[in-house]
Amino acid sequence: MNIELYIERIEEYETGTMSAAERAAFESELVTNAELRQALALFQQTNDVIEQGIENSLRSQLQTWNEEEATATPMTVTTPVGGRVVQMRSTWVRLAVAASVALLIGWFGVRWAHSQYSDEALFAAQYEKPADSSFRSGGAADRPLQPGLDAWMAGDLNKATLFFGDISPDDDHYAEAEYYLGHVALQQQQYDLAIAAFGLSAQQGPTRFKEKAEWNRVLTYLAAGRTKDADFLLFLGQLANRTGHSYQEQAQDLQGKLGSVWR
Amino acid sequence: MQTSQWTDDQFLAAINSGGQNRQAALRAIYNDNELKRKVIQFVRNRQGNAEDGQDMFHEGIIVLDRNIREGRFRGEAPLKGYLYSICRFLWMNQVRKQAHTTQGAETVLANEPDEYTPEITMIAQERKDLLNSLLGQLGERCQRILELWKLSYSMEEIAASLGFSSADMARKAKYRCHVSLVELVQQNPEMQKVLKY
Repeated sequence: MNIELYIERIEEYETGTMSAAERAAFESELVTNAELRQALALFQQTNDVIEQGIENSLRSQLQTWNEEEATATPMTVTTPVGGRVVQMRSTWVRLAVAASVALLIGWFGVRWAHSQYSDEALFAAQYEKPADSSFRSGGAADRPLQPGLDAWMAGDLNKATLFFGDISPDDDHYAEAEYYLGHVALQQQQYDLAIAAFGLSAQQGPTRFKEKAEWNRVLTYLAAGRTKDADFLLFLGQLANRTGHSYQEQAQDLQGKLGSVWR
Repeated sequence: MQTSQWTDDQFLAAINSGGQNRQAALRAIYNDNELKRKVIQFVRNRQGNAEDGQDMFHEGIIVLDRNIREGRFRGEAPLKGYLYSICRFLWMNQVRKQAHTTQGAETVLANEPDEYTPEITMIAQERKDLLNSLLGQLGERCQRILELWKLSYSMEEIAASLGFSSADMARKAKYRCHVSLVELVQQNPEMQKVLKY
């Protein structure tokens, strides 16, 4: 049997697209034509095969919708008796939540790391305000800067600034006065004054304040956020490379942190 | 459009008209979470779990779709109730098959208030395997063409969906695929016996 002889007419008959007259003629022929009957039977059997394909496709489509739904909104099914709760969350939702948490942790981690390497944080970690007790050794005659120190400790920064600023370069305590002036100015956020004061202190020769003044000058640039200044880089580089300097290690450490990826 | 916005007549008309209308109607039925929960609840109360319930809801939609397209359901009963009955019937049939003795399941089924009696084409696994075997021999592209044709997609839509240059080319391809399928059935007498059922 050659199905191609009949298939178009059979399709029209099966899909109801024949006219009434054509349909009547077709059905008359079915009575007399065994081959046509066989062809029609075969055609009808293919319907089940195609329906199976449709069923497979719909099942696949429903599964896809189910997965989409599970990803979009997890459905909770509760039972009135017993109170069992079934979470219909997919693995993808769990993974997405885990990824979000990881991202949040990562984001806060990066923020935290950035905060640890900021100018303010580095300054706070390095800066040491001279202790009150260090001003009070010896007798009154040995402590000519005491009025300025007392004003500073009392919080009268302007009075302290005026006092230390009035100390003459010829005075034996000039390097010391400039050193304290630098700290007071730093506290007042008068960074240029502080840098100049620490610089003058450091230039006075090998006193016990020289290295401290050099280090605090560097820290003043840091407090001022002027870490790109050429002078800052120069002073920091000098300290980091000066073997035996009391602050060499701190200077090298600061150099490393300033070059960190977290900044 | 949510299920609640569709009338039963609209569902029937959309599924019968095929194409994208059928797709939209089936999606709306699928999105009926209230009915889905009810089916899952039924299955959970009768030896199943939520996943089984979800599967039954899917299988119920598959049967509903075919029953509507083949005129076995014409809206004599509310569509949601009809679908729920299908799902219940499918699950109890599965429980019955799995049980060593059928007594328990039949008792449960008999005690269920059956508002509607769905006509369900129960396809035996062996028959299903044969159908899928034929589909495999036919090839994926031919399968898809014949499915879309059966679901009343126009030749223009089939051409666009499967990348034919024109509706006429899609029509010729559909013809060749249909002839191939008839020949496959013809060449397999065993399959003919099974398909006659």
